[in-house]
Amino acid sequence: MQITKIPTEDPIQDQWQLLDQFAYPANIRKYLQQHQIHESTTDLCEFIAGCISQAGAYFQASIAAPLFISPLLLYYGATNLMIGAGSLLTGIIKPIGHHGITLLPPEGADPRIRGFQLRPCHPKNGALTWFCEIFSNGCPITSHGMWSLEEILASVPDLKNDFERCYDDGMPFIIPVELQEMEIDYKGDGESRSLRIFETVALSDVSRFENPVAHIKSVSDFASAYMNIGPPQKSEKFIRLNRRMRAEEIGFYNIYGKKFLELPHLKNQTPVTLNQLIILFLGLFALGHISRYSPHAWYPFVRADSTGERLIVQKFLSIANRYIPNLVLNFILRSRIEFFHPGSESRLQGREIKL
Amino acid sequence: MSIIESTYKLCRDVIRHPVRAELNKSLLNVNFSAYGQAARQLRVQLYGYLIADQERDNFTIKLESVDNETLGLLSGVHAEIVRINTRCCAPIIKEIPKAKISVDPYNKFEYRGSHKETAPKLFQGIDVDRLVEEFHKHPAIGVALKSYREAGEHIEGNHFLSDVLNYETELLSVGPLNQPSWFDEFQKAPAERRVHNLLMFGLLCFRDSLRNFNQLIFQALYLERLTILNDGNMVDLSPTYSNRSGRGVGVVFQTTDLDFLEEILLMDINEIVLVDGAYGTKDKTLGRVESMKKPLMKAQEPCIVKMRLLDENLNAYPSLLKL
Repeated sequence: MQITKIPTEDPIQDQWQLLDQFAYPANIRKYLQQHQIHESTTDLCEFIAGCISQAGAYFQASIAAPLFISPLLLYYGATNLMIGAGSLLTGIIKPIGHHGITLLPPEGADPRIRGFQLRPCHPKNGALTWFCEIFSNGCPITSHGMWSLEEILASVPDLKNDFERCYDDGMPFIIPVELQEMEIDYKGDGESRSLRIFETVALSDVSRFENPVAHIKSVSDFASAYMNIGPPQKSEKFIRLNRRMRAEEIGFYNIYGKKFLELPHLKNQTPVTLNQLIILFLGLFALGHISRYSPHAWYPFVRADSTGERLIVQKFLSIANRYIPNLVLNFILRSRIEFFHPGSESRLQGREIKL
Repeated sequence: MSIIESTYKLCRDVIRHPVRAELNKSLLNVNFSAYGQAARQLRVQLYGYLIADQERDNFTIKLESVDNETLGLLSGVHAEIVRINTRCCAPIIKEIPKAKISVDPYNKFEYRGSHKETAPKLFQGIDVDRLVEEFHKHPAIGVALKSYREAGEHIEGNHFLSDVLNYETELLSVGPLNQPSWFDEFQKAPAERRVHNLLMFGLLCFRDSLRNFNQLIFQALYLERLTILNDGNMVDLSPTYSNRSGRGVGVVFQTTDLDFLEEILLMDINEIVLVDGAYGTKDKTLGRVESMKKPLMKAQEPCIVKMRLLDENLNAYPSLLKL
């Protein structure tokens, strides 16, 4: 995917400025024509513009709102943004009749927030199904059973450390990958130098897994993207992943350009991998609905959590606030948009990789 | 059929031969000892085991003793290979008898022992005539003989040997991706010099093909297939570098899925492997490993190898014949 680097001192403001161009029907019309998506109608353009505008307002409101209601505002914002972007990308106004998910309270003795369960439903007119069609390679999510909030939190890349700190028994679903450049000079004349990107996984990042190698190999399409890996030697702190020549790259990059591999969620014996946008959307649905429909659980949690779980929830919301507009923008502009602080430009330039 | 095809067929015959199993067992028995390692590092296939045994007092480390039965077997099969080599280079020797030693792939070492005629024969029942015929069509023969006739000079046997070895050393020292700088000036050299060099290049190329043939037979004693570098283990493949001696490639690859023996042989340098994608085509090309960098004790750490590509005559220096 193409990478677009944008210097900014305020990425949140800048990402919304980029999205806000689609709050104007004239720009929407141009986009649809330029990408030959669909004949633009006034209704369609106004619908998209309205969704994007409302989304911006919800996101902005959520920042100022207390934790009692901020998840719900963010969920509304994300829903509007994804519906608007979905319509922009497909050129249709999809009739949506349901969220496409229902929320179930925790089962068992652990009453913590992480135990809430999500059941995707309404494959015909549920918003989630449509979002998965557009943003997650058409993953038939309703046929894959339940998702726990813990699984969702475990799948957010920049939440990994907080997740492991908060849940001693929690197993992350993402693996951070370091990219390293290796200079190859076959002829030794300096003129035929080339750079290859090598990838490594720090053993400390997979220390929770009994068999880290087996877990890494369980990543979808691992065998077609990378060469086989064996157990590291005792002295090694990393597992090196060698990409196959000519293979499609797998994994994903967070908005800061850091690479991750996703471990599949086993649902009805089927490995399922969801796009980050869907993961964040599911998390927002759960938290929004707990705060809205389970105040008896949410109020004491916000007021007096002693487990540290509130911290991870707050971090999740903060990530969602920053990531969701950026990820949606990536889909719309068909490029990985990386905002970076001008002061860090030189460091980032050295890491730029054309995929 | 070409030299390469005849060699492949011969390797298949060797792999099926009952004596091969015996040889394989003997080689594996001695291979992981200091003796085996010393023998392999001489890089002259079975001959290395004979030389290492003969010169064991000259090694700084103590080499384990090897039983007479094993030595008898190895020396017997080596003698068979030498006989095939001799038949292959007959057209050259017939006209230039003094060049005999220069085209001998084993001319760097002298073995003073003898082999037992009663030792099991690896090539018994295997038809090598086709291979010999193909070698007689080797383009290096034409170049060498034509240059010899043109030169009309008197050259001592030792001079043939030293020139061929010197040129080979020079080629090896610049590596498979480069060429000695004076090759660019080859055409500007006096005619006499050019003809002399072409004669030596012809002998060098012929010797190289024989050496590679011997190496492929040797590898067939260890493994039933050639090591293949392809999409499955290559991390990077350089462009094919062509120069006035031949073609070479650099490969970065991962050894994780290689058989342990394959890895050992690769470490010894001189192994011949199949490179998938060299020349930028879908064809597999034979390459002779000339340098290898492999970090020890690191899983998946890629190795970097440089190799010369062999042509259909198993010649790593085919462009020398066109200079």
